[in-house]
Amino acid sequence: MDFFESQERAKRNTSWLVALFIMGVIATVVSVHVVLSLTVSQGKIFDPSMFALSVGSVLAVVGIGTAVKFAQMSHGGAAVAQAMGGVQVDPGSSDPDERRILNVVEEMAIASGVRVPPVYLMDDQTINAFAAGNSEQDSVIGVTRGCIHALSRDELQGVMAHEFSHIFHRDTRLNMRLVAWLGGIFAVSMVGRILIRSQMYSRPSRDKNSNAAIGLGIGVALFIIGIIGYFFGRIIQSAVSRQREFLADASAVQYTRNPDGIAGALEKIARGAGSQLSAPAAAEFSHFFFANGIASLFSTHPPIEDRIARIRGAKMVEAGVTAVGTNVATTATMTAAKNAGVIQPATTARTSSMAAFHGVSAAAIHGARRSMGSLNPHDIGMAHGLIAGLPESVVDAARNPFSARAVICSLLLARDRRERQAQLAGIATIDPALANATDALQQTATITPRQRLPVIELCAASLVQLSPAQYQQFRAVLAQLIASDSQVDRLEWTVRVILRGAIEGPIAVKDTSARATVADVALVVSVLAWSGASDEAGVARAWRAARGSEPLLPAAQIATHLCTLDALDESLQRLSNTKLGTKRKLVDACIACVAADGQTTVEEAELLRAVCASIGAPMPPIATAA
Amino acid sequence: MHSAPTIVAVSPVLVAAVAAGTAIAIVAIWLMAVYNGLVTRRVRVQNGFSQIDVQLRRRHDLVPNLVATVKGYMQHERSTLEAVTSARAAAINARTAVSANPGDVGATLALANAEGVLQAVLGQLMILMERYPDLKANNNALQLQEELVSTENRIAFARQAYNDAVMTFNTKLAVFPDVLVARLFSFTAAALFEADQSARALPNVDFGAPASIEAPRNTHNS
Repeated sequence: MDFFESQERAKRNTSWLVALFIMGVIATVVSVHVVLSLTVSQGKIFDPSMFALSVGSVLAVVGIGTAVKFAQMSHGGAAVAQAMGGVQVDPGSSDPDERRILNVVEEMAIASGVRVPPVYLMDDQTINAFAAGNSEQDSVIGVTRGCIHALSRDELQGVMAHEFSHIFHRDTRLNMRLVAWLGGIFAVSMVGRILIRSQMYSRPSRDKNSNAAIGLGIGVALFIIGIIGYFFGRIIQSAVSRQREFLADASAVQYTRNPDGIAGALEKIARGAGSQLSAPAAAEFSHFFFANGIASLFSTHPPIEDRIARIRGAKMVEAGVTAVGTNVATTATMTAAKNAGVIQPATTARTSSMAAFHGVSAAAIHGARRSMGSLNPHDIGMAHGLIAGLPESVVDAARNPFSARAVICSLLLARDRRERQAQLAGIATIDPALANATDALQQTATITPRQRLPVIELCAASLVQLSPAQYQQFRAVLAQLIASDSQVDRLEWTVRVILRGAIEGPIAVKDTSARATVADVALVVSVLAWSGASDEAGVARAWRAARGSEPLLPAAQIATHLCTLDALDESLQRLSNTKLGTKRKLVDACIACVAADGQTTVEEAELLRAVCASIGAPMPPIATAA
Repeated sequence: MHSAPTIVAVSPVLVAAVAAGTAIAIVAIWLMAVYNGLVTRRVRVQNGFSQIDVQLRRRHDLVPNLVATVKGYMQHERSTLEAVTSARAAAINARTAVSANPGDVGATLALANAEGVLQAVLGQLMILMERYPDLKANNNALQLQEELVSTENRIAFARQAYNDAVMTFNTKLAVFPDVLVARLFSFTAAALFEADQSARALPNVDFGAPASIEAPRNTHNS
């Protein structure tokens, strides 16, 4: 299935949930009204003022409860991880267990083109993991100490592939919303609890005794209604969640082509390691987890034996047998199996063209477009190789916020020696230590064009740790570096786009009211057209190709002086909040534009990927062609 | 269920009760929101500290290697090397104390001071190393020295980020209305990671080094 189709489907699932939620609220209003009618209005069937009161109070409580939870969830996956008591693992950690999980996550992120998600560690000895976030730009991965300690690398990879599937299929977003809505309905039972308490602790005055008793009765009733609403929500939660778990398991097998990994992890849980969590918030977030986080009547996960059996049964996916569907019941699994068949040809096409260095073929770009929002062992292996091939000093530096800045700066230094000295002097006026570190790095390490994007991604993962003040300072350094030569080149664009997506995404409060327009799409495509072609004719040709893909684009590209970094930032920000249909059009227009001249450079392809990633359409690395 | 004396008398009171319950619930929800905000900022402080911690650990691991490497060359600087070793041991103790009791103000301050001492004696050692030409030809020593300097830069940077997070958290603790919630749930202010300036001057006393080496002390920036 196409990336955007699967996202579209996730969205439909969300609207289904909204409908169920509204039904839940209506049921709550009716129950509250019935309780109030029976007690206060003494059985009078319909008392308008009483009805207004029940509707008003329920809506107020549910509304505010939901709003507060939505606000909490808007902080992204980090908020969930922190509520679970998770502490972020330092990207530069040298602890062997921590290093292994970080490496596995880094490789998968680079292989699929998503931002490297921060990893949070929870201090439980059981085996469990989760992914949370509203988009893949603010997603985080959470793991228990037991998970990274007890699982082998293959098993960890299986579990992480499962979590990445949740991110790609937007399950994480669905999960975040679910928490918010359940929070609203649960707030009703909180009113009940407060009423019970206030009635029990208030002194019984003689003439108000009966009122107190009725108040207590209402309290108990509200409490029960809230609880019923909550359980109603939990049933939705588990119904949705179970389905998604099977899909994620199937995807994990598809991504890694190794059923033993994820099955092994599940078997370790089943054999006694367990998956229960100690954090008090575990119930609220139980549908986020890899395996059941709490013992509960409404299990959010299918029985572990079922999952193992299905994964073992799905072994045929690995062999490429399309008849898997007959073995596996859920349509979800069938889709995943079908996917495996679609992706294969593109992968093999890319394998054969790995050796050559410069240039990207149009076929490779289209291949990457097809595997968007997915993973495969070949790309994971390639990411592993890319990181392993990096100079050790660069990797070490990229994993720390202080020196990651130096890595980024060293990438942006000019070739010309004298210009470079001037740039370093410019950095030194803002931060002398950074200038020294940059100088040391550029003298010792070389980074090839192909390695650049992974390096920038690694850096972005540690730069997230900058405090707002430090980030402002670093932005000033970057602005100076970019302004130091007369023109803005592709690499400078790419750096800005990735850093904004990775760092400002989570930090800044997004202006969701701004609507993206055709003008935004036109601007982004224009930037790509200008940066890809060497002359006016080339730009015009690229633009024509883009218009062929998206006829709504204006007749001519936007003039080069209007294509500024800030304008691109703003347009991308609006586009990242836009409808999936618009995103799809943008991605396809960009691809048509870049592939138009048949002379795509690595840098151009990387800028394309950075643009796609920043609007939440991650593209795997594009192989270079001969 | 009790039977109410009269219908007319009961209704308004209960309407008020339900309304009051709703109002209380809204306050409770607000309380929760503020509480969550405080917790989030406290976690950021913890994350900031774990960043420093990683680099401190790295420095502690590098020091014995450096001492072992230079020992053969610097026979006459035994007291300096001992000062480095004991400063490292003290810093490790302080670090263990903080991990056993995260967020403790006293322990954090003690660690900041112990690290300040370690940093100062290491600075002295590096200045002394300049006086041994043989050491300058020793690649291993040069590399370790470079790594220590880079670790120091990272520590300084992580400390800055941590202190920023602490300031944000402490400010939030102090402003109205968050201060009410903070008191209610007994949140306490986090400690800045800053070495006492007087502590840093201490190790100079312990050096049995000749007087001539005092001049270039300012070459080391921290």
